[in-house]
Amino acid sequence: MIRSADVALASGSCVAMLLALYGAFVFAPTELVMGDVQRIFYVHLPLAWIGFVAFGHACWAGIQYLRIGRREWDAVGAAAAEIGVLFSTLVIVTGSLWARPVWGTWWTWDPQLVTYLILWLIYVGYLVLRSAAGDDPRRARFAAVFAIVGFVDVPLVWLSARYLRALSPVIFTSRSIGLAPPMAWALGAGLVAWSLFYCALFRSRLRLGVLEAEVAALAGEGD
Amino acid sequence: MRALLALIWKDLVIEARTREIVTAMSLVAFLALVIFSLALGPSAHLVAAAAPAAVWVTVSFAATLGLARAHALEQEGQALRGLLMTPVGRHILYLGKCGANLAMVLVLQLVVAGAAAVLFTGAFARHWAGLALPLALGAVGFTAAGTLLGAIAAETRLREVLLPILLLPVVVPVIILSLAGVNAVLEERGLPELLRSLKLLGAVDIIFVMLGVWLFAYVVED
Repeated sequence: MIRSADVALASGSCVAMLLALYGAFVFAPTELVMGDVQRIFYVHLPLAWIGFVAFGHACWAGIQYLRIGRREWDAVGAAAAEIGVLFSTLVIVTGSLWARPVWGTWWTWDPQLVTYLILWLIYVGYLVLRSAAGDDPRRARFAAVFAIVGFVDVPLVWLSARYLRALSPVIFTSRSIGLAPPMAWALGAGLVAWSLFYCALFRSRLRLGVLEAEVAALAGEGD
Repeated sequence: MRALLALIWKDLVIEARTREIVTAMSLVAFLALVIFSLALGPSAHLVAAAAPAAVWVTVSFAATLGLARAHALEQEGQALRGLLMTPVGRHILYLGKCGANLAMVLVLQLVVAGAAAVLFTGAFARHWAGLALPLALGAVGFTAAGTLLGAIAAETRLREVLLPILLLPVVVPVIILSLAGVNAVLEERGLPELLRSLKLLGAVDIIFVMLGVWLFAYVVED
């Protein structure tokens, strides 16, 4: 059943997304050094943040599932991780599109890039684990455990990836770029829009997950 | 403590009688090293430079195979179910399995480092004492995560195919830090440099062991 809250959330995210696109392509001035390529940042950065939040969400759902054991938390974890993988795929793709003209390479072993790549690999593994566990009732526990291990691993990857810097040439030393106020507004609009979009997607995916679990339970009773 | 030692002893006795896992792991590792060596070609400089990387790539894949087999053994004849019925804490079961796995991975590392000393660079033989610590600490983190995730993978449809997909991205920090230590030793960059990476590696090991002790009960719970 689609509730009015979902409709409001979906339309809100549509409006916010249009505003964010306006902010990124029209409102924000062209960056002096990088030119129009820099506009990818208004999509890339919010996606990166929210992708990370999504994996944190999956980890939190895992902890809650192990603590309380309610099936809804498993559905929450699955929904968050799935959208997280989608967002982080887009992060890596948009990052590469941006890096090619600016750094002159599609990929470099910068600690942040390494961390995001490993994060992506871990949660792709999480999705493979879910599908490999099939209808096994233990699937929820396995997924919860792996979501926790994967998220705890993230700061460790980041800390260790800094050791790679000594080994490979550093192409770009600092990512901090001073943002002019209109740029900051465009970035903020992007963040709001993608956050709302995450919430809308998450609620739909969660509802689907709960329905799937109910159907599986009914099919189990029928056997 | 006695239960823990008994658990480790049980696995080691099984392995000593069959020599199944260590032999298979070592052979796979040796083959990988030979292929590496052939692929790198005759340049002695290139081969020596690639040696630490070749050692860790080989160890990670061969050890993953070994861990998958070790957990498959627990499935056969419902050995794990039997263990779960004993009045022993789940965390002791985890530490026992971890200890036995660690012993096997350490043997594997010894074989691989020895083979690398012959096939790749004599530096591995010259610096054996200094290399022991970063490699062994790497093995601890690898097996701590591998024992937990191996127990998960063994219960799924994909089994030994799933384990590398789950384990290898998670142990990336262990591999990077152990390699940083190995490189510090081989390039003779001094003790402070070595200790810097080893301290972090030790911390990662402790975190992985703690995660295993905490979460293993949820994995094997019926």
